[in-house]
Amino acid sequence: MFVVAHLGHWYESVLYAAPMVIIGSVLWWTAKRERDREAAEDGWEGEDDPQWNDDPRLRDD
Amino acid sequence: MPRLIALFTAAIVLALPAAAQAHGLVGRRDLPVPAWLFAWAATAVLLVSFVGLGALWREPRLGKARERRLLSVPAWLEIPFGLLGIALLGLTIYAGFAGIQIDTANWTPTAIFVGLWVGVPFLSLLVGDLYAAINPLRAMGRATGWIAGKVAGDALPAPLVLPERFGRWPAALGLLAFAWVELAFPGRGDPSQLAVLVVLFCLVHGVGMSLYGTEPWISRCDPFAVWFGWVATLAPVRWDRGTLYGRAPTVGTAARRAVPGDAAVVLVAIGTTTWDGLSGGDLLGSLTGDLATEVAKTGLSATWANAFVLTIGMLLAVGFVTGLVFAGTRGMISPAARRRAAAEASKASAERKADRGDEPRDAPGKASGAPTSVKPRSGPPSVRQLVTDFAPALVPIGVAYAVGHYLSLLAFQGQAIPQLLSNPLGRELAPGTGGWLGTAGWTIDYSWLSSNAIWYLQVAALLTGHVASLVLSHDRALERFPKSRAARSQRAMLVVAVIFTCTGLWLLSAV
Repeated sequence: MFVVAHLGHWYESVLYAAPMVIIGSVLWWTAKRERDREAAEDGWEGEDDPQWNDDPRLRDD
Repeated sequence: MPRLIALFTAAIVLALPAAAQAHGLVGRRDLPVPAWLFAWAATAVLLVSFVGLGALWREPRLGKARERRLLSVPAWLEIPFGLLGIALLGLTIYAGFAGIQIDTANWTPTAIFVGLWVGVPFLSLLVGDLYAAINPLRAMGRATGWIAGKVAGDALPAPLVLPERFGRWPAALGLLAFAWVELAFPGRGDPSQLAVLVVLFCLVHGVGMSLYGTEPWISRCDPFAVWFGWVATLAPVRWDRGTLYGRAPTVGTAARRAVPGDAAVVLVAIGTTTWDGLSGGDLLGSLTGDLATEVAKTGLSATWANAFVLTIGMLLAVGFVTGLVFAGTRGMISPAARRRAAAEASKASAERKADRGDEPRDAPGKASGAPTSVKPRSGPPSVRQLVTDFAPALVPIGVAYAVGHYLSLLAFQGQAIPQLLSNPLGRELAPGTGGWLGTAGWTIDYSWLSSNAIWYLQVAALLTGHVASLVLSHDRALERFPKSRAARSQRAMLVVAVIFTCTGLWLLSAV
């Protein structure tokens, strides 16, 4: 009964959480599809395709 | 990404029962649409911003933006500003000890929690790094150094060097300690106890400055100088040796490079503000009270049991915010790159083991276990390094949370500052007298800003802050990742921004 009595408040919070759930789910699903596709293509991006621009100048304070 | 989803699901699960405590919260505002619709609209704005950035913002721009010289002021103005800071500090300590021990009637609590903690960063958003000008510690350190130099001359020993690995971690710890005083310390409303803490703060930093030099110490260990300095990078102006430069907002934030500890400073600011919203309103108020009652059964006094619960809650909030940001940052690196890095690390490790196994332990010219020639190829950075590199993008979120949370405090309690400045000790004044500045009789006008206006300003601040964060993060990604990958790397950060925005609005709606 306690839970039922507070459903009104729960409903409000779910409405705040809904955008997070929707955006999070869509992006997670998109990332998963890409991961699966990369795995199917061997997933190796090659020696000359760096993921990271290791520019030492950017390490400065 | 799975970690992010797990964290985010946990957040929602935690949020639901908490909301059940939210009684008596409606009716304060008269909004034309339900408050939760603002979260949906904010999410839509963030989504459109993210897509727009990916489509239209193809080159890093903020780091290359130019500043315009606006005006110069005489260098000697540093002295009166420094003296003003020292005078305010002295007044805060004096009023804490000598004044009436009622928090609202004494200058000290309002000076610390409203003037310093809220007023200074709000003003810094407009006029630049105000705290750097009035920082009493810096003023005292520089004055002491100048006098010591005159007296001792060349005999003065050179300052020690702060280890690089400390970064700005001391400032982050200092900020956490201040937040604890604000949110959990039982004596936070007691002027004399606050004055003792201010004296301790001055002593610790005085010793630090004397050992390591004023500027190195302040720039890395003074929590207010570091956090307010980051806030001021968002301002449209910058002061440098008496010259004022104009620039577009956020340009300064993009231009400043973070060091280890900077991210912690921002995460502490966000996490503690989140906890302040959760514990201060009705959302968790009764829950923390019930938990404190349980803790008190162990023999702890009721006051300290409450402080214990609040401390744990604050640490959990900071931990949650940190986990969320780390999860989002981890999502910047593609799974393929992570696999490659792991494979290379594993290969390098195997080759090192093989080298050690094949080589006699007493081989001439080489110590046992010394590094071998096998080095892993440069791969993606660690998540911790990425969090540091992208820390400036978190600054607008921290500021947005602070503005959203403390706006009403500044709007109303801020009006008490002139009144308390005229009567800092809170003494009974004769009728018709206005105290030191003639403003002791001023009263707080609670009607000048309506609840609706506050809500709209809070929403605008949250939204502006999170869009600015997306822009900064996207611009930094263009610097750090190949262009083909930059926009994609920011998807997880979009989720983080949406979570922060909706959570912020939810907290504000319940106050």
